[in-house]
Amino acid sequence: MFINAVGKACPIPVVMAKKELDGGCTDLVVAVDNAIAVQNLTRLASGRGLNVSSEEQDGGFHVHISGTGAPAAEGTAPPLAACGPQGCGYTVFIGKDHLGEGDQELGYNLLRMALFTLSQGDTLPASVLFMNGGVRLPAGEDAQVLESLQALAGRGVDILVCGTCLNYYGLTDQLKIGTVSNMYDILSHMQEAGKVLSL
Amino acid sequence: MRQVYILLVFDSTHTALRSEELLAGLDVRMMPTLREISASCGISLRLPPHRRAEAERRLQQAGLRGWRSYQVCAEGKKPVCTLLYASGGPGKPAENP
Repeated sequence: MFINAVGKACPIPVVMAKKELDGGCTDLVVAVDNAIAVQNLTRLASGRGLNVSSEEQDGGFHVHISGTGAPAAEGTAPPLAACGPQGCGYTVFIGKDHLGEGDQELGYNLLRMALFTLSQGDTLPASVLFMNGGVRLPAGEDAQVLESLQALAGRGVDILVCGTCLNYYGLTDQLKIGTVSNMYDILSHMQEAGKVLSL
Repeated sequence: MRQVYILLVFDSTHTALRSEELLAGLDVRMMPTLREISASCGISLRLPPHRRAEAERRLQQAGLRGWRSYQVCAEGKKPVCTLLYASGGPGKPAENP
């Protein structure tokens, strides 16, 4: 079964795929034109225990879903990224190594707790983006912070870290987790997200 | 998945931060105080059950007051919290229910 969902606004591609899967389809290719739709389709398939892969094609993406899977246990299926008028899902932007203004020690610990809470929660962001002083977190030594980021990455969240910032702070060789990224990618993650949480 | 851990909660943020230093090496993780537990301070310290005795010993030895330890069973949405120990607040004697 082939579904052409190119040009369809989120969450239509997911709705179209879900309808076919619910109807008993076991081999499905969905053509979409944006990465968020790929993520949402991947989450839909993973949540149902189906095989899923994607490839770039014709300037867009083909997402291939197959298998009969097993119904995921209640509460274990990763939630679909929420969609709003601006786009789908949300992304978290971290531009400094503390949360809020005021005492630095308190701010740093608030941010550690925020990352921990995020990593344990049900509603995951599509990505966490680190810039400026924020890059000290994925390039630092704090075991709790690295553990939280690892947990997020393990659950499919993209961790993008500004390469210019790592270079500026002399931390390029210290990056423990995440992908070295650039202004283009980081900005497009923010532009494609339904909302951006700036911590 | 069922998770069981020990949660230390505090009356004061400063005590929480100082406690984290005192408990270095005990696999402590800082997390927000659970909604199910009423405490003045929003910072809690989470640790594995087998670290409890050593953690309480260190806090007592340092003379810290205004903290409590709970056992938390997290399964599904709502964690079940059982009070294990209360150090007593300022001016109160330590008690062990």
